[in-house]
Amino acid sequence: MQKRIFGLSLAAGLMLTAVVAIGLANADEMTIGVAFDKIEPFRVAEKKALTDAIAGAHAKMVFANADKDPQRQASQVDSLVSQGVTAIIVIPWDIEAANDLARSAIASGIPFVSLDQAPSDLQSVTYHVGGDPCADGKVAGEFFVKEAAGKPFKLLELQGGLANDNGIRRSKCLDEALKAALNITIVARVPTDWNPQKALEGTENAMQAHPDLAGIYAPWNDALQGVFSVLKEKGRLVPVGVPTHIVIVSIDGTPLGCKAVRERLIDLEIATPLPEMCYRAVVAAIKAAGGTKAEPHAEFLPGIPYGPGDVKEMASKVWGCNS
Amino acid sequence: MLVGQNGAGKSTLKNILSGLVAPDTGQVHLAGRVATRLSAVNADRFGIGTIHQELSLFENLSVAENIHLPHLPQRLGRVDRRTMEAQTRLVLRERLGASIDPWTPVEELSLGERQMVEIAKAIHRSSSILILDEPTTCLNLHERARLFSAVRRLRKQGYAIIYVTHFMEEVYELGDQIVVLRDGRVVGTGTAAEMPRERLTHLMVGHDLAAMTAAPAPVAVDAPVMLEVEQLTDGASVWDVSFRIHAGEILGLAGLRGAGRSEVAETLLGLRHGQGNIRLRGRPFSERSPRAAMERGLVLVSEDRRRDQAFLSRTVRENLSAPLLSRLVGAPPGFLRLDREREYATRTTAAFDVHHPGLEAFMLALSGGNQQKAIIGRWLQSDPAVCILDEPTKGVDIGARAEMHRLIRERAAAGMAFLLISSDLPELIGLAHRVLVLHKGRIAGEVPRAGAQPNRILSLASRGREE
Amino acid sequence: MTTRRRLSRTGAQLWSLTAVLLLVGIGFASLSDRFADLDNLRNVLLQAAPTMIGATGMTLVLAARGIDLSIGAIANLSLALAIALSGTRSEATLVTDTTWLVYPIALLSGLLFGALNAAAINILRLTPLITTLGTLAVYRGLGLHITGAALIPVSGPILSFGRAQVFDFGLPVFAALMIAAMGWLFLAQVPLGRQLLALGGSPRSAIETGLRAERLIVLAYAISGLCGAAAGLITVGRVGVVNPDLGDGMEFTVITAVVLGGTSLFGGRASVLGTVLASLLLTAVDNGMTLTGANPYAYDVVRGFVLLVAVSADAVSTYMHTRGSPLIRELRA
Repeated sequence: MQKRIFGLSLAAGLMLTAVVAIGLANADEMTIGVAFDKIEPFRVAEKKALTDAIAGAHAKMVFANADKDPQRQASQVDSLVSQGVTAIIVIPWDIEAANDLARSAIASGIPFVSLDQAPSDLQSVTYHVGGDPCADGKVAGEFFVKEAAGKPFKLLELQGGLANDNGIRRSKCLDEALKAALNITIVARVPTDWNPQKALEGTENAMQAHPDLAGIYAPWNDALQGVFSVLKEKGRLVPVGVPTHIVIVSIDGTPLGCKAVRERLIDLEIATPLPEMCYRAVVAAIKAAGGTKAEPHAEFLPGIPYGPGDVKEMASKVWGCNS
Repeated sequence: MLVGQNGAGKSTLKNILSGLVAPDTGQVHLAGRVATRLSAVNADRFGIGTIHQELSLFENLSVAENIHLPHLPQRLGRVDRRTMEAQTRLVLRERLGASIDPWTPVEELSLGERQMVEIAKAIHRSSSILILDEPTTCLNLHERARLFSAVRRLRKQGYAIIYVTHFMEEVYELGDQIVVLRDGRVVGTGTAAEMPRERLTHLMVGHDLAAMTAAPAPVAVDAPVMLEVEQLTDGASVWDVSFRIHAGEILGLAGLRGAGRSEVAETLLGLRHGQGNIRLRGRPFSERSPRAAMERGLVLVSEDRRRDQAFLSRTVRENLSAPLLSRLVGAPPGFLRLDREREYATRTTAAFDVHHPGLEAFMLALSGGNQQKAIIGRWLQSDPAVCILDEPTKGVDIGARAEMHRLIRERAAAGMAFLLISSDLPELIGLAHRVLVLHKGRIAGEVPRAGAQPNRILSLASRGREE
Repeated sequence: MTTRRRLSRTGAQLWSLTAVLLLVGIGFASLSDRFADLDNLRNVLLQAAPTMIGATGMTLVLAARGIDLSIGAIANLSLALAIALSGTRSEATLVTDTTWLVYPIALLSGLLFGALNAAAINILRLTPLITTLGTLAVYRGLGLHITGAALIPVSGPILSFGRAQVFDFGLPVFAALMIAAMGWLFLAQVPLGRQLLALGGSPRSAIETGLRAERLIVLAYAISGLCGAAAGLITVGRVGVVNPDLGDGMEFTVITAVVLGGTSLFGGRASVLGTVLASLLLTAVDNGMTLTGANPYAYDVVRGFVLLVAVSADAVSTYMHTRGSPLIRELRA
């Protein structure tokens, strides 16, 4: 047993020396630590955008994925800090825990930039850049009000994660925009945890209860496949303009979302300015490492709304239409 | 002395007295008072301490902690280890005459020592009445003797003791008063002097037992060798064991606890790794596993069959048919014929006198003795060529014991070969054609039926040679 | 020896589960007139099918005193492999077109990954909990690697099974009921199934009784993996995408259904019928809440509440049935 412990500590010691040696060797080269909350299609696109932006700044990237585990994310950030990276860009999973992670990194002299998901206390981070879930939800709500045009309108609201800032605010601000329109009834709010299968079941159940459903709010692109499956089965998957069409609004701007718009299957899509967002995060991280304060301290980039009518003109601004 | 066969109601009576089960009617008088609302929590306030058949100690805690729980002595808010140690020593040494270190974890104690700790625990709770439920079932001869002397000592110190047992020897060795239970009723009471052995047996069983000492049928001169073992060694507890068993022969295997008797059986079956040549019915048996053994007609009824061979959470029917499901497959092919399985189970339970609340009852619902009989029945009914019986009558009452002996003799007469492992010398001498004696894993000698005296076997077993 | 046939413990559990299912049904039916209609029955059955199939496989594993945390990851990896091997991706439409080969590939890989779980348990002699927790991560990681964590829309035969209709009911409903029936028959009347229960009841006894414990373990986990892949095929067939989240958390739903159905977490006691009822109950609760337009935050509360009620109903019925705690009953015996 003792022998084993000795062996282990010897190995640990050697590793530590190696890490320090590498750290010293690359002291003049910048390394940006990137810690994601999970891996999914949208994140893959974000990772690619970050990789491009970091390479453009002649820096190196160290990547970690917490796979929806706040504990794991905490230890990943800790190890990035102890590796002595130049700056850290994090997509927080737990928006409360992120505050402490940020404070301890900053206390060690390493800038902490939060991306996409805002931590609960924006003051804790060096800089935040994300989409504006509230603005996006409001745009969606206003669109439904316009579509309903004063007539009775039954709406199904699919919800993303209820423990997650983007999920909560995309729903809350939709509700606020709809408050004044008494002709619109939200017949069901279905929590899905961003899972397309739950989106499918929720749509199926809502269509069952309300065959006269007029609109569906699918606040992330991955939900669309589930929604389409149900509509197809019920014979309601028809292009915009056909009388039996159900009004659908989605958010994200992924290739799949753009494709649905081009096929005229959905009425409105609000594309998150993903490359812009990632670029700003990297720039702010590098600036902060150089001692320049990020101004403004936090930025929320509203999405770019586009529909079948203007997809041709807008395509160049929507990342999903170009990739 | 509370005496009775398995299922006579001894344990239930004990459970009522110790407050685990409430009586439907009737009263318990204690020291002239009626004890109402007797419960497990206040039984010790009434001065009743019970030592159950299944020991209830915390194996991970020390002797002293076990004796004192749940009220550990405290001083200044901390556990007072010195007082605890002193009290533990007092109880163990003064009252019971046992020398066990108070700080040994219970898991390191032998069963006999655990029994002592149980008794010490009961006495420590200021009991004046002690109930001992079959305390010797798991003990070896030496431990049993020590327990007896402890019980005698307690009696002298003024404790009243209710001793539940179905062993005749214990009744006469310890008892003052005898109460015999059968089918839940008291069928006889009296002092030991008033109740001779024959009368007691009669009361317990309800009828006279057939002569228990009938000799086994002689082995035919030309009987083929069924099992041949040469230089069986497992490198730990079994060394160079060789023997042969012929068809129809009952070979006894004697030895002290730890002499390697069960290990011989386990090595034969492949439950333990070992070397040695084994031939079953003339053919080599080298790829050993319980399954291969079963297919070749060699079965083992293990000593702790309740733990090692029973499926307590499954039904009686499934327990009986478990090893031979392939024989019960019928139409449609691949599926079990449940009717045949039930019929088989009914036959087995009848043949082996297993009392059960129904074939679909869980095995757990059967009394310990009946579980044993069911497992023995499972193996014998499958008609093996060679059957190894490890302590077949341990924990079985005298009626069932006689029945078991009759069955073994009958099957042997029909050509089945037996290896009978037993600590019960009268059983070995009464049943076996020859007795092999093991000493520290080696065969110390062979005693033929004609010359089988307990002393000869005992001295071989304990010293490895004859006087 | 009583001739009166006693209701077994699992029997009592089935009745209490049926009662809770009926209560939930009546409750939702009074809140929404669309709940108790044939169309909705179709929906509930169809939505319950993947859970039911996965849970039937899991019932066998739990019966043998095991647990398979990796069942959802197996669903994910099997489907990822199947579309990677048999699908062709079109860059223009972003859709991966499949051939009939997805079915044998997905099912066989499910079987294989399940058997690998068993091999790890047998060879490394680790507890099933730790082993499958490990393989959960490995399988999930491999699945993500194969799909590149992308959401992959699929077309072609892969959709046929999940979307086919038979007598106006979805084909998956019949498949699920059939698999459950086979599971039930297997445990009740096939020697291997019986041996699985015996092994779960007492591994030591199983070995001394000459059962091939290691083979039985392989069998149970392989079936569980197979069922996981089948559940994945249905889900993907219905949704029309292989998403990186596929099968995420499936193990919890499935194990909940199995245990709620009266199968012991400690082996030796299993009820496939209970598993089926419990799967329906879990699905009906979610379905009813959408139909009645419940507050999204209430979903988890109601789910938890129904679970507690079902478990207490079981405890009460067991108590009434045995007239006392199991301990006392055992002492009396």
